[in-house]
Amino acid sequence: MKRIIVLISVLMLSVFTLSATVTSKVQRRIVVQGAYDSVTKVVFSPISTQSGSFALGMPFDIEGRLVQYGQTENGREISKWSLVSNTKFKLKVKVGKLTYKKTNTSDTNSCELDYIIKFTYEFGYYDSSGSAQSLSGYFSFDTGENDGKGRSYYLSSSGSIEYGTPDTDGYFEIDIMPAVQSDSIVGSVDGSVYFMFTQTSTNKIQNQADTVPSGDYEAQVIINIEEKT
Amino acid sequence: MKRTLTLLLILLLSAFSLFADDTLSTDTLTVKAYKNKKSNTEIVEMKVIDALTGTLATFKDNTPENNSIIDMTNYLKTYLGNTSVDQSSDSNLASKAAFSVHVTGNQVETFTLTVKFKALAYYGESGVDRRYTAESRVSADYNNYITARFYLIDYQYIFTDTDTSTVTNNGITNTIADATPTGYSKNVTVPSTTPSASSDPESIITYKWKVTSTDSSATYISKYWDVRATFAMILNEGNSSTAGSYIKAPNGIYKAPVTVSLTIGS
Repeated sequence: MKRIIVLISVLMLSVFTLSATVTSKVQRRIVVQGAYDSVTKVVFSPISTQSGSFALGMPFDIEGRLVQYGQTENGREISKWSLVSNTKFKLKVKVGKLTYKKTNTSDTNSCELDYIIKFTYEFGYYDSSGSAQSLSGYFSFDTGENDGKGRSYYLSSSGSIEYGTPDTDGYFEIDIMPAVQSDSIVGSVDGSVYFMFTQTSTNKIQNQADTVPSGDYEAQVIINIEEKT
Repeated sequence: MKRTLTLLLILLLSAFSLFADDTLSTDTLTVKAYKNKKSNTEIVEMKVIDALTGTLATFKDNTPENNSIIDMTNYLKTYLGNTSVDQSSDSNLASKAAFSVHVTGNQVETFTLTVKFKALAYYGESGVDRRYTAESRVSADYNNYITARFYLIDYQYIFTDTDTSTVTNNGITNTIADATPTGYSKNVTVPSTTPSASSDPESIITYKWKVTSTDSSATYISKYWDVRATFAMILNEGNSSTAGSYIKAPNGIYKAPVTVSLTIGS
C-alpha cells in the first residue's frame, strides 16, 4: 500500500510539472495513472517529422545535417520514452543496425548503417528514508563499436553511468540496472531518444556513399523492463 | 507413492521456472529514415487549429490520404447570434481563421493537395445526425439551414534543401496569386473563393492546388516540403435573399465535413 501511495505521488508531481509547460494555445491530454499491486510499464512515443526550424522526428534524411556526427551534441530527437514502475526493475535495450528496406524480392541492394542512439532521462524516485530524489543524465550506444557484444550500465547515485561487464550473448544490448538504493528502487523515468551516425570508419554515409542505396531504412530498438531479482 | 508425488511436484515446479518470463513490460521503437526518396510520399502530419478555443488538434496518418470531420461548434459560438448574417464584407478575415491544414512530406516533384468542404450542417444537440434543412426545420423561428463560405486566407509553402535552408513564400489574400520563388512554379486552381449560397447542404467547395518544380537542375527539391493553408469560414443564410438578417439557428452541434487528400504527380 505504501508503494502505491508513493507511486501515485510521483505521478502527480509529474502531472503538475507537465502542466506548467503547457502554453495557453495548446491543449494536451494527460492520463493520470494509479496502480494496484505491481505495475511496470515502458513506452516509446515516436515523434513525426516536424517542419521548418523544428528539425526533429522521423522519417529523416540520412544525409541531413543533424544526424551527422558532431553537428550537435545529441543528434536528432526522434522519440520520447517513459517508464513507470512500483517494483524493482532492470532495463534492457536491444539496438539493431539501420538497415536498407528492400523494395521487392528482386531488389539486390543491401546496406547496414551504424549509428549512435542516445537516451536521456529524468529519473524520479524515493530513497530508503522516504525522501524524494531525482537523477538526470543519459546513456548511449554505438552499434559500430561493440562488435556484437552488449554492455551493461549502472545508474550511479550521482546520475552518471557506471560501466558494467560487457555481455557476450550476441546482441547489441544495454543493461541498465538502477544501482541507487538497489533494494528499494522504484519510480518513473521520462526522457528523449536521439539519433546520430558514427564518426568511425563504419560510417558509410561519409566514407562509402556509393554503397548506400537510395530508399527507406529502418532499425529496431527494443526496450525491456525485467524484474530485478 | 509419496516419492512419486514429490517427484511430480519437483517436475512441475521446474516446468514453471523454465517458462517463467522475467519481462515486465516491453516496447519497440522503429527508427525510420530514407535517402533520396522519390516515391511513397507520406502525409506525416496534418494539423487542424480551432481558432476560437486555441485547441490544437493534430491528425497523423502515414497514408497519402487523410479524411477528417472537423467539429465547428466552438467556432460558431462566436458568430451565431452575432449581428449580421452575411459576413462576406468583413475585411478582417484573418481574425476569423477557422482552421488550418498543415501538411509535411519529403518529396517535391509534383503534388496536388485538395481540400474539399461540404456545407455546414446542423447535427442536433446530442450529436445525432438530424440535419436541419429547409425540409426539416424545427420551427418557423429557425429559418432554413445555415451554409458557410470558406475563404482561403493564407497560403504558405516551404521547401527545404537542408535542415536549415528554406525557400518560402506566403500571401494573405483571397487568392493565391503571389510571387514565385526561383525554381518553382505554381499551378493553382481555385473554383471560387466566394461561392454563392447553395440550397444544397451537400454542396462541395473544393480548393485544389499543385506545386511543380520547373528547375530540373535543382536537386535539392527532393528533400523536404511543407504546405500550410489557413481557412476562414463566413456564415451566410441558406436562402440568401435575406442576407443581412439575423441568424436564427437552433442551439446544437454543427459540423462541416472537410476532406483533405494528397496526390503525387500531375
